[in-house]
Amino acid sequence: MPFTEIAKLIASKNFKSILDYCQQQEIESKNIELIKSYYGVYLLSYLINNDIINAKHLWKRISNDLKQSNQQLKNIYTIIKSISQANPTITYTALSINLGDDYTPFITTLKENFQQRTFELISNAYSSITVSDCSSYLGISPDDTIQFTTSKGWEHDKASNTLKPIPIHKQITGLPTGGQQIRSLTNYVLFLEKST
Amino acid sequence: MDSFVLDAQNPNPKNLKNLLKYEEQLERQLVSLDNILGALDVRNHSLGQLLVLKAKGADQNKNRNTFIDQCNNFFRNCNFEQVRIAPAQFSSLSKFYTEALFEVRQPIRGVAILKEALNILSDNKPTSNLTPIHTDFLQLCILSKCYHQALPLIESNITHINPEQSSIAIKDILCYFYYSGIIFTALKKYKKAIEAFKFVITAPASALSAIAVEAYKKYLIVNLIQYGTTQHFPRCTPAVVQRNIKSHCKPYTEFVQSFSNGSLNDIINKSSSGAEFFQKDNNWGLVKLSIKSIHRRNIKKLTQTFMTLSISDIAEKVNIPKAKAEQFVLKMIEEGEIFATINQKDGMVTFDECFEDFSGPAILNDLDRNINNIVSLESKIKDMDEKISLSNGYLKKLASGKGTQLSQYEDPMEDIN
Repeated sequence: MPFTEIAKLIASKNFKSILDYCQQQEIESKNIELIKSYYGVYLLSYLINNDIINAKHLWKRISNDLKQSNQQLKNIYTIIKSISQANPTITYTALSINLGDDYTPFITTLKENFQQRTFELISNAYSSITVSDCSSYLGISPDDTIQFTTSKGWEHDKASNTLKPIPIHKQITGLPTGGQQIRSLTNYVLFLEKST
Repeated sequence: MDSFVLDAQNPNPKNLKNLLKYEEQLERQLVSLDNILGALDVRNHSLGQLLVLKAKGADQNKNRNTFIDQCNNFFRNCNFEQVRIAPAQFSSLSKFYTEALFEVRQPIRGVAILKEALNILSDNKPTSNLTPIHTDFLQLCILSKCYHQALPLIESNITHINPEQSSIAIKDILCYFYYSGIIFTALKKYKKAIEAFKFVITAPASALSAIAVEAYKKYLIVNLIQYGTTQHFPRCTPAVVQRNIKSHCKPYTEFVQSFSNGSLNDIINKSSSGAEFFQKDNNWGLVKLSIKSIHRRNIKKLTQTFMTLSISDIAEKVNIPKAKAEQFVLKMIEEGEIFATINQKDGMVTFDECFEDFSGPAILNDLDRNINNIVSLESKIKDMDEKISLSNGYLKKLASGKGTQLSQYEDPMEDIN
C-alpha cells in the first residue's frame, strides 16, 4: 500500500479530506518525489468532488516529463477530458481500465458518483430518451438499462424503444432549527432597532 | 559592521529602532552579509536578520536558491513584533523573495510561506486587512497556477487598508485587485472577476496607470463572456481614465463593438485581425472563450421566445451542427443556465419556467447570510464614520469652514457630541 499517509481516509472514503491533504502537501512538502506519487490520487479526488476546473489547473501544474512518462496519469487525463467534453462513452471506457489496486477505491467511487450524477441529470433533463442514449449515459448495456430504469419507475415505450424518465427533486437539506431561526430573527430586529 | 551585530543582539526592544540607520551601510557590505546573518538568531534578532536579508535581496548577483532558503527560514520563525517595526523593509523583502522564486521558476515553493506571512502586517486579520504581502501572495498563486489557494482570501471583503501599519502603496492595492480578477477568471467566476477589474479602473487616479489599462482589457472581454456586451464606465470612474483608457486598447474596443452589431463571421474576423495584440497581452484564450459563449447566449435567447422547439431548429437558429445542439442544451441544463426538458421521441425541446419557488431552506440560508453580511458591513461603516468625524483633519475643516459648507451637513456636530 503506497499511500500509507492517507490509508485511513481511503478506508473511510473521506475524499474531501484526501483532497485537503494533497493540497497541503503540494505547497508545504519539501519532498518533491512524494507529491509526484500523489498526483493521480489528487486528480481523482477533484473529480470525485466534481471539480473539473481545479482538476484541469492541477493537470497544468504537473511537469511535462511526468505527464509523458506516467501511463496512469495519462489515463486519468482521458477521464478529465471526456467528462468536460460530455462524452460519457469515453469516460466509462477510461474508467474501466485497471490503474492498479491502489487506485481501485478511487475509480470505483468516481464511477458510482459519475453514474449517479448523470442519472439525476437525465432524469430531469429528458422527458423521453432512447434506450441506446440512456445506456451510454449510464455506462451499462441496453438490457440492464431497461431493467434499472424501470425499477426506478420509468416507463419503457417498446414501439419507439424510448424511456420516460421521472424527474428527481433535490432532497431538502440543511433546514435551520427553530432555535437558530429565532436567534437570527432577534438579531435582525435588534439591528433595526439600533439604527433608528 | 560589528556595531550592527552588537546592536542587533541588544535585548532591549527600545533600542531596536536604532538598527534602521544601518540600512544603507548594509547594502554596501554585500560580501559579508551571509556572515552577519549567521551571527544573528532568527527568533531573537529578527529585525537584524530582516535588514540583512533585505540588503541581500537588492543584490542582483546573489545565489537565488540560498537566498530563498534563508528567507524561508526567516518567514517561518521570525518574531512578528520585531518585524512590525519595519513594515517597509519587510514588504521589500517579500518582493525580492517573490522575484527570486520567479527567477528560479519555482513559485510554488513560496505559496505556503507567504500564506502564513499574510498575518504579520495585518494584525493577524489577513482576510480584512490588506498588506503588500497579499499582493505578492496572489502573484505567486498565479505563477504557480495554484488558484485555489488564493480563493478564500480574495472572496473575503477587504475593509482595512492602513499604509502606516503595512507601508502599502497604491500600486500594491491596484495589483491586488488586478490579480484577484485574474484568479476569479481562471476559476470561471466571471461576475466576481468583473467586480475586481472594475475596482482597478474606478480607483481614484490623477493619471492613467498601466495596471488600469491591463485591467480594462480583461474587464471588456470577461464582460463579453458573461453578458455578451459591455457595461458603461461606472459613475465613479475618474475622468482621466474615462477619457484616455480606450485609446490604449483599440483592438479590444473594436472587438467589443463587433459583438453588439456584427454577425458571427464579423466577430471572428475582428478577433483574428487583433489576434497579435490579444496574444501579446495573454488574452487570446479569453477572446476565444468569449466567442464560444455566443452559442450559449443565443440558446438562452430562444427560451424567451419559444415554448417548444425542435432540436434541428435550435441547431439552425444558433448555427451549430445538429449533433452538438442536444449536447449544448444538456450542458446548459446541468449548469442551471436554462430550464428545459428534451424529448428524444419527438426530437423536441420544451422550455420551462424556473422550478425554484423561492420558499426552500436554501433560499432562507442565502437570505440569512446576506443579511448578516450587511449587518457586519454596517458596523464597519459606522466605525469608519466615527473615526473620520473625530479626526483632526475633519474637525479643522469644520472649524474653518464657512456657513455654506456647513449647510451641506445637517448638523455636523451631532455625532461628535
